[in-house]
Amino acid sequence: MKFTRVKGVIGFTVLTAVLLSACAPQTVVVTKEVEKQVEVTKVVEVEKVVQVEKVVEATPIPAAIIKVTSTNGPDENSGVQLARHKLLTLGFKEIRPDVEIVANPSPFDAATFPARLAAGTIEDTYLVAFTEPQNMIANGYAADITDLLSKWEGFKSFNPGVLQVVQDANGRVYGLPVNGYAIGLLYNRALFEEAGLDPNKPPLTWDELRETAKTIKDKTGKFGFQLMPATGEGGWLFTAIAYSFGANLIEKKDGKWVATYNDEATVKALTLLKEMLWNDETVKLVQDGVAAATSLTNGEAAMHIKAPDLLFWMHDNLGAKVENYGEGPMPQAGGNATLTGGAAWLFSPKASPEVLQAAVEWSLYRDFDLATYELDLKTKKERGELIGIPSLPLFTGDYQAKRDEILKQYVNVPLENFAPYMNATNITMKPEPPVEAQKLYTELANVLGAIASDKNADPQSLLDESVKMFQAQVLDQIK
Amino acid sequence: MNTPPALAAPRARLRLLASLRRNAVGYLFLLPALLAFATFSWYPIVRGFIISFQKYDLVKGAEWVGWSNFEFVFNDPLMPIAWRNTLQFTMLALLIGYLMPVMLAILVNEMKRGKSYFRLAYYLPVILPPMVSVLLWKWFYDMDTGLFNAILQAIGLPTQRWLFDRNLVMLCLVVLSTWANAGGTMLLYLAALQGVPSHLYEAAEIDGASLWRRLWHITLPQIRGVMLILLVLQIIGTMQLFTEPFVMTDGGPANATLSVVMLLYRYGFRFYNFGAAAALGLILFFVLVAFSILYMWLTRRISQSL
Repeated sequence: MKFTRVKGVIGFTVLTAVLLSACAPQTVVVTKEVEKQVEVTKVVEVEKVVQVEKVVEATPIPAAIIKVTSTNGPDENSGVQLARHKLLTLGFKEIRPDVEIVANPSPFDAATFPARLAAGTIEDTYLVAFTEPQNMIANGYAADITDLLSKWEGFKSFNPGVLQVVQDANGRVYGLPVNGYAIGLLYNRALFEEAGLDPNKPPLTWDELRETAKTIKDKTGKFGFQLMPATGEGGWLFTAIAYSFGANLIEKKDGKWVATYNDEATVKALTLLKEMLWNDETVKLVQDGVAAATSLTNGEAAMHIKAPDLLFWMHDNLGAKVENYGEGPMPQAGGNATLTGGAAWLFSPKASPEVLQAAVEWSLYRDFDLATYELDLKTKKERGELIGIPSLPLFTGDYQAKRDEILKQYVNVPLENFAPYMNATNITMKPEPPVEAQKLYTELANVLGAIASDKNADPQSLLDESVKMFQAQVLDQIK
Repeated sequence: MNTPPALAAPRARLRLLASLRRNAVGYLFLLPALLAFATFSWYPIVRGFIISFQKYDLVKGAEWVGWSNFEFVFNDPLMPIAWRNTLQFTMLALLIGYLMPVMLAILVNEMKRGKSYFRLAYYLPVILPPMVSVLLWKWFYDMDTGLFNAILQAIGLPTQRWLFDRNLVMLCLVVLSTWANAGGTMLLYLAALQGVPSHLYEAAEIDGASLWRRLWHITLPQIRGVMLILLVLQIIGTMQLFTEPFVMTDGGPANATLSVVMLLYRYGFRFYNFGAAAALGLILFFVLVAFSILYMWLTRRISQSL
């Protein structure tokens, strides 16, 4: 069987060569630095494979050599998104011809992010919700861009409340907030009308909301309100509710973080929800954000604590008609406050200084250049996308006024439906809890879950127990 | 006869070389699988072991911290809850899910007609991707628009809170999991039933044994080996409960479905504490190793007794 053996040896060699070449991208360090180009030459001999690394020095910097990768790129199946991306990248090319933008369609994914960061395959810049930056800054998952950003003329006009989301305790900036919102009350106008309520007058206090929910239940048989008691997202929304009752949840006392969410305000908030759920039976329980949006779209529930930007999603994915919905301010019960949310671009701590600078410049061009902004809105309107759903002003003063002026020309949503939300003054915009917000949301969701699954649960003792645990396990562990 | 040591060594080496040459092709065929296992199983296992003793910072690198990850995990008040939930799931799965495939297999096997139809029908859920069946059941359990409450309402029974009832939620997951997996196990039992010699049944029938007695005295003793092995395998499988709570409940309500693997996932991917996640993984690993040893011991004993 000599013949077979010879074939075996050849097969082995070929296989080894194939496997080694498959491994090659991992063994060669491809840096984003411009100066070096690494070329790999493989010499395949009969029974061994030799790998030679040859470093070639490249002298002058050729055009389009800085590659910036980012998340949230255009969907390859969507002509309109591709067209928008092309428009923006061509415009940017005129300013920075040496930069090439590679935008992957996939969004930020918290589950794969750490592994990809460790492996060096994470994008240079990624768009995350406001719930993420503090956790990521604390873990070193975002680059400090203070020096790059402070050169930009609009930097000083940033709304301090918004900028705070991407700042650490020393005021260093780690990201670029590109949209912001305050959580309010999103409601189904059609159900209001069906119940004989004035759709232009959403409830402004929690007492009013409770009554409104009862009326809707009585008149239409539908749920007045909805809650998400199982997931962290529900804990996040409960934070907004607790703020409106005057709670702070976590406070700094004598230089130490203290969980205070067993105070009177939080207990009141939880008690109200419990009574609406079990006594009034006006609350629909939903498992997650998608279920909440679906039930709001289908008219199964009338009111939901959420910012108006959910309408984009409801419009694009569920075909919701924007004119059927309205947004009121966050109902209040002594707190005069609500939670802010939004999205911000963060930048990879592993990106080289050149790439980082190019990435920041690209973000500024795409989101904050006034000419680009106008062009973007114009093409969005042509494509039938929703324009004008209210958001939190990212800036103050003159620059914001210019942006508003441009936006006004392209609005295609009925702004009067959002008037109660936009006209609400004296409601404080509070950022998320300053430390360990994700863990707090998970914990608050557990408390909500206990209320939702047990008629006899006692809000005070549930919160006492939770605070005790959270203090010892989470806050006392912060160094 | 004594061989001088100087000669013995080369001869042994020659024998080894000869056997290597003889098996070269065999090893070659093994190579892809070995490489795949090394890359995707053994290497991560070793890394997990190392990370459990480190504070693993993805940007700054790792730092040795001794046993502190294990201390953190053992001090976490969620730890006993997660183990209690997992064991509760395992026990419920044994109560509800263990005998179900045996009964299905015996029933299908006894059928005179439509055997292949029922075999397929019971197997069908296994073909569905787990995500699809979980999402389907999520709708079944919906409080307001779900199938189960609609049925309860139609026959005039009080509706249930299903996934929002912390006393009921685990049962909901077990029923789903049994529905989704029983078909696969049933096929194994069906195969085992084919191996039961028919002359035993014939003899029993001549002696006038009832169906029940035949089942008790012939069928079950004949397949008890497979039953034992599948028992251990089921325990190992159900202790890794993750997909159902991850997709359906996120561990809620009030931590009622927080399983050990869910907690591990939370440590790692929600709170970025990889050291704690790896430490918990290692603890689970040792528990499962204990069951695996039991499994191997049982398999050996049974194959010897056959």
